[in-house]
Amino acid sequence: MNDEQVDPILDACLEELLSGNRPPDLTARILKAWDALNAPPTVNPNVVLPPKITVTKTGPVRRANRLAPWISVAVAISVVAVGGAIWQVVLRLTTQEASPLGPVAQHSPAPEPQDFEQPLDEDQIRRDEPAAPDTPRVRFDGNIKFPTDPQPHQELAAENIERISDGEIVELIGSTLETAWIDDVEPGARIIGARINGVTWCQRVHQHLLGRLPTTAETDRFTKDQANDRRNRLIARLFNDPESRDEFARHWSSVWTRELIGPGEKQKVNRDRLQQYLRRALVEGKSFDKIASELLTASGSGQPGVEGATGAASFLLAHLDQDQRAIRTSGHVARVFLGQQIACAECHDHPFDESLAQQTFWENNAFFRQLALTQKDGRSELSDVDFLGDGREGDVHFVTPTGLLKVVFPVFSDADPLPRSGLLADGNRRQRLAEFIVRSAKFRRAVVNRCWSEMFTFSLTSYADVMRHHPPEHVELLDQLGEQFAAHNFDLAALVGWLALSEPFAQPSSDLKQTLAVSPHYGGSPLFNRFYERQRVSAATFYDSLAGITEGGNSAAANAGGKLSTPARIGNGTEPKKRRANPELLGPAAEQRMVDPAFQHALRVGPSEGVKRILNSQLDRDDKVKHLFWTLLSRAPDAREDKAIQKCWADQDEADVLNDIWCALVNNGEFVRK
Amino acid sequence: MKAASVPESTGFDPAGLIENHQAGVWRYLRVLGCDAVTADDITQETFLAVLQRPFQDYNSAATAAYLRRTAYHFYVSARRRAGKCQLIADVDRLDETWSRWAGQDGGEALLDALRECLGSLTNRARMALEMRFRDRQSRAKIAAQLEITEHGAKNLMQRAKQKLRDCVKGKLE
Repeated sequence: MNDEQVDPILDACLEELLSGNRPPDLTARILKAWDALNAPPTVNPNVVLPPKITVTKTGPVRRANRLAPWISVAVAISVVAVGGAIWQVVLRLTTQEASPLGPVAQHSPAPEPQDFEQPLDEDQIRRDEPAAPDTPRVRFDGNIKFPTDPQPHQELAAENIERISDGEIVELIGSTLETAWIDDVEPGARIIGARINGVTWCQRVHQHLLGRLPTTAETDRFTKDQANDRRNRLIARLFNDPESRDEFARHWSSVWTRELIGPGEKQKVNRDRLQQYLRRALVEGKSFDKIASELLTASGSGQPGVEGATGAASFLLAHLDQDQRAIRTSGHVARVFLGQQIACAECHDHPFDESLAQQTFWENNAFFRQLALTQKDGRSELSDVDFLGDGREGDVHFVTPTGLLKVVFPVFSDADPLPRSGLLADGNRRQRLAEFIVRSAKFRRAVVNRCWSEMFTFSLTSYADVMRHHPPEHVELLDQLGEQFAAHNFDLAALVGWLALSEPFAQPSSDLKQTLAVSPHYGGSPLFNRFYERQRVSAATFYDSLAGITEGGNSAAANAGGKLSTPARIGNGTEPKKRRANPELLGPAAEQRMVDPAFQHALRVGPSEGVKRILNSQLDRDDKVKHLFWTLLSRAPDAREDKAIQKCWADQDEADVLNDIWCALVNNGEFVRK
Repeated sequence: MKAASVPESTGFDPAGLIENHQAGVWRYLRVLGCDAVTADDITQETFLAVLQRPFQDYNSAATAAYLRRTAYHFYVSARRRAGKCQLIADVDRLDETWSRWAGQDGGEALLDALRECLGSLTNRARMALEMRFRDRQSRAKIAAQLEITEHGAKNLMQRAKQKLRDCVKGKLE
């Protein structure tokens, strides 16, 4: 609070105190004016309406008769003007003699609509009708009894989801989406391409699960496995191998960090700490509902080296406003964890979604009012404090666009309302909100939808975070996957594994001519009968994939067969600073990646480090080339490429040739469309 | 998320509503910059408007806030009709402060605190404030009576108000 807000209050009070100008008792005056407003309209018996004059034209019209209408109009205008002047004089005299609004209150101009307007409701509509004598005109309602210990949400308590096996879930995804793949032209046929080969699928799995391309040894191992269930075995191996599990945690913690706090460095937020928290949670196999709960209820500082600091606090710290009203927090939590974009309802009802009223936003906001942002030793900290309320009873006030002030208390969806008190002793609102959220069907659907979007580029809804306004195109699948996600203890790895093994994930990425017109790239709904590739390999994936290049001595082409050592990865918080990508640049826009410093850094690193190491390896010349091909394209050069390379050997030295090949491959459409 | 339940109807006493809240509304209008006569008029206008509109009386503070907001809208309308646009810079913050200091009782506790705090001022400071707020004297006249410069009078009153501000804040918060 600064002095500017205090001085008008202090000045007014000083004037009242020192000059003795106390507020008058206006009760009688207001009640009198109120009675006058309620009085029925009276008719003045002295006013006699003029008789209706009928003019009958007889004979030729004289000049005087022709002017008569104009003379009447002129006289009427004059009378009105004189009357108006007299009325002004009378009004001024009246206002000087008595209280301005006393006797003339009923003639006071109505306030301008934009300044003060009350919503019409049923009672107000009835106001125009004659009310019963004993019926109060104004209804004062004030005795709502909320339970002090609300029962669990009935719908959630009664929910009984049947858990099915992983294989059945994978089948479920394919069979549900198949209904959208039926060819209208050729009955019985499906609009679907040939499944991709194993190597491409292996690349795709590594890219989307671990955030990098497979090393040559990994590709080699997969291709040598001829078992029918080799895809299942690969997924199982990735999740059971501690090293791969850590890579999975690193990649998906990066994905969720971006979802939780958005791109860009934010003041008072330690992004690395949040990612480390998520990574550790995923490595430990913590269920995602527990992760969400911890994110929503975290306290303390997100900074390292502070007692009680937790990386989870960075999520709310990133969205908490200094004015402690948590406006942005409410909108962001709903968007991330419920798939609902409610931020616009801060100021007004949704124009066509009746379920998203302004009141809904503020009821959601009331859950965060016990949350306080404090500064301690230059650090931002989250803490829970008693919320007295805008009206001192734990209530939150907001003003509608029509100027009406409304009062709300925390209410989540159709769950029972919380106790009104905002005191911590009577309940922690954030903890209750976390319980409500993780038990709601919206939460599991939102998480499934986001993971689906990460894997398949497009979500099952038009927009991953606006499910409310845009009903999901694949409603049944989203619901069923959400239920199974909950039945499998919100295991993110299991969910991602189901998606990787599903039929849509094994579809080719090329366009199908039958469905080209309804491609989501052109505004249609995604059918997932082909794999919608992202336009470019992400900076993180690209950077990590360089590790394969640096392992020149273990090329599949050289049949070394040795296991590749784990190279330093992006963003795991342990590697040297210079090798960590800026997470800000991992956004979804392909254009952004084009100017991505991390991407450019990777391009610089490739020739200088990777190629140099290959150059110094013990491989022969052809194997070095094959190693580059296998690493970047997962294949050996074909005859045409081999011929072109042979020409290069003739007039360039080895280092230049390898550099040229490296640059050609990373700028090749085959690589960037992986 | 759903709307809150509609409370059941209870009895209503218009006179009680006016008696309980008129002082708070009137003082709030004075804080906004109304002269006394205009504050009377807008207070009446506010209650007439509110009495014609049904609303839910959750608690006294909420009702007071509703009345203040309504009064503010009427004040804005009055200013516009008068062709004037100068208003308080940040009404929301001002309202927040008023709500914290005087939201419960219409400002009675605030005045009591201020009365006590005035006693802690020096005689010269209190005299300067009395001349300013009671006698509405100009700064030049105040300076002349206290035999100081105008700048000195200004400093004296500013320091006195700062002391009052801290004192009141300490008592109310």
